[in-house]
Amino acid sequence: MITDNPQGALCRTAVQIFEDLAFMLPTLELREQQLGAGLGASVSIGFSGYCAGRLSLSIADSVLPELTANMLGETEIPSQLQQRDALGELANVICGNLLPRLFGAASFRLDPPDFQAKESFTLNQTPIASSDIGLGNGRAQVMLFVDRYGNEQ
Amino acid sequence: MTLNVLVVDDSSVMREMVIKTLRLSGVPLNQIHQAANGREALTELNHQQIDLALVDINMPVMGGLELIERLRATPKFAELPIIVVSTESSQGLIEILQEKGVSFVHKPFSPESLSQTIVSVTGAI
Repeated sequence: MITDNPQGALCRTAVQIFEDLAFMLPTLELREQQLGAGLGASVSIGFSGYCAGRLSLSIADSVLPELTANMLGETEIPSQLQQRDALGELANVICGNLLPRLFGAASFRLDPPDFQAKESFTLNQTPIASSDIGLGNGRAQVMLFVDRYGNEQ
Repeated sequence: MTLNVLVVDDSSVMREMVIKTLRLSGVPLNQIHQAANGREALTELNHQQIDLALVDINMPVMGGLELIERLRATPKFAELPIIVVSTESSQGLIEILQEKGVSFVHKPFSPESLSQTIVSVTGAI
């Protein structure tokens, strides 16, 4: 049983994690420049347990280096590997914090980050919650998909 | 007492964040070692003097729970202070960790929460 509004929970969780983990100042009202920023790198975290699904996180290429540098506490531009690692960790933490908000004490197992094109995560499926979050001069897009509940096959 | 700490996480960015947080926490540190999974952690533990392990749960090759099981089954490491640092916080996981005498810090964490847990686990000031 979902214990919170999925859309609201997704927004609150993602904003909190971008603040706490990446020391960014996220906004839910995006400026024109942010809306126009194309999404680049994408990652998906699959989960299973009370229900199965995945959380996808896509982010503008213009934002990821700054975000990664913030996480590392560095001023130099992080390597591509570090940027990818940071994206996966952000998605993992958002997913791990969102599921208890939505499903209470239910147990879940999270899969390792899956780095693929955004389209491969979203093909032919509608997310139960989706949020665009303004970050610097770009944006991130977080989507939550639920494929099945309980022991459904 | 200065601590030799082992940070075990498959994410190099998260390892760096934990290490930076450790250095900001005020906990007296000697050396900080790193491992990307449970197997690497076992190698480090067998070759270094480690006073405290900070361990992620979801890792490839060997995850945090298997690592903890192996350590608790080894007399040399049965009493090693371990803190799990993870996004997973289900009641089932917390109960398993409590049974094994392992503390838990939830991601994202603050320097204060990490240092308080380290002090309570190790007695370090």
